[in-house]
Amino acid sequence: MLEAYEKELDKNSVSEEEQTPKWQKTTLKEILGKKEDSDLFGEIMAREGDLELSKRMASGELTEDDISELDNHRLDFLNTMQEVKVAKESITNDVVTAYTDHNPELKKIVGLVGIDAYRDMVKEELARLAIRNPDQFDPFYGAVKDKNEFKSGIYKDLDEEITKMCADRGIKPESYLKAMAIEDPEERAKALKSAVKEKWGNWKKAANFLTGGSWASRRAELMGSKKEELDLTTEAMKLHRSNIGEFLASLTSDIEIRSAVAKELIGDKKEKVPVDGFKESKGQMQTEEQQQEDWEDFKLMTPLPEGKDWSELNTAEQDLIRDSFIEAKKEEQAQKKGLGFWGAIFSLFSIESLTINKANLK
Amino acid sequence: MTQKELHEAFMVFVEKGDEEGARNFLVENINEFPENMRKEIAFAFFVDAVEKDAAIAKVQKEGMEMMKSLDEVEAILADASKASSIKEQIS
Repeated sequence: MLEAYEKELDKNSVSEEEQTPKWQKTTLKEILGKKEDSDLFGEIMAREGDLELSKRMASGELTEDDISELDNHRLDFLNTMQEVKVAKESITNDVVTAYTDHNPELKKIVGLVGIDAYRDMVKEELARLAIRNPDQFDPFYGAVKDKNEFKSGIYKDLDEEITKMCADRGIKPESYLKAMAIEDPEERAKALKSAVKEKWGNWKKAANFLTGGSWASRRAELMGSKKEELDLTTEAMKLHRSNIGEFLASLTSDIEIRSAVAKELIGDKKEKVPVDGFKESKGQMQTEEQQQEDWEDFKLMTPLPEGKDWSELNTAEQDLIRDSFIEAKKEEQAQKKGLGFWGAIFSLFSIESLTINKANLK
Repeated sequence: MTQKELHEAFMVFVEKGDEEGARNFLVENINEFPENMRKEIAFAFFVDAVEKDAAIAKVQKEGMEMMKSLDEVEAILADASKASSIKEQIS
């Protein structure tokens, strides 16, 4: 009896080795053996400020503490890559189309690039976002997952649910004709921005009306109220419903309104992760003069081979130093890289301008 | 356009502070950029679209909840109004 029980226990016991998921068993050697993985692993170390450790790793002078630190980075890398794998699977042509339907810029890009190529580009870049900006990756992936889940539910789209609700109640989109009739795009954008601000004011009033005491618990009190008081509250309720309903209907039916509202919401500094806009991110771009100044400093700080002067170096030696300068600037940019659309774009152009101007580094 | 020309043309919009012009330039010339840049620009637009869509979806969900709550308030007010009319008729 006891023997049988022990046998049964043995059958059920799983060694620690077997409990570790397969993807977590990838060794550091295997990661560094693949160019793409090795680059991403390097970015994790740069993100964590472990540049000294990278140097010790490159020169083969690792301490015992380093090895344990590297193993933490290895696990961090593998966990991130596992999340990226799942995220990649969720990026399908259907998902891309769901976004292009509401975004004319994206629709144009997908039209120019081709949907399959575009989908693959997005998949390829996902790992970089997850590693460089985990604070941005998590809500991004959460939003894509939500979109997928909603599409597999009763409604293909949140818009459909709202459209049906509005149709059932005879609610029509609010008229933005005054703002839309302005032909000058800049003036129209200004008018839309102010219209959107006004709608937000109404939205907040409705939210206050609803949260100003629980309505269920006020039932008894309302039952004893006079007709005039009830009529006033009913009027307020109708006004809030019409403001909210018409605004919701506008969001589903008008891309320009939707885009103006989204811009207002993304620019809201009260959001958890503040995102720099166009003006703030512009500061990341270095002028050619600033690049030249940094280059002169870099040359002074770099020990030249055999105590030679810069002009005594041959072309290959000079090129090697230019490349290390560009690499150092790339790392500097990656550290400074801000969140948001313009943070990514300006960082990209800064790095690119160094490559373009490489010949000017003399 | 060469890579340098593309860069300079883009910088004209940046220097002017013309955000919309800069965005349009990136969209219109997406295929002109070298592959590494094309990928990053295309991806930046996707992340931007997802973030905007998520922000709108959050508002829409909140709005739907508010509409449902307003229905409940309407029902309570309708009952209270009936009760008030009956009371007035009796008195």
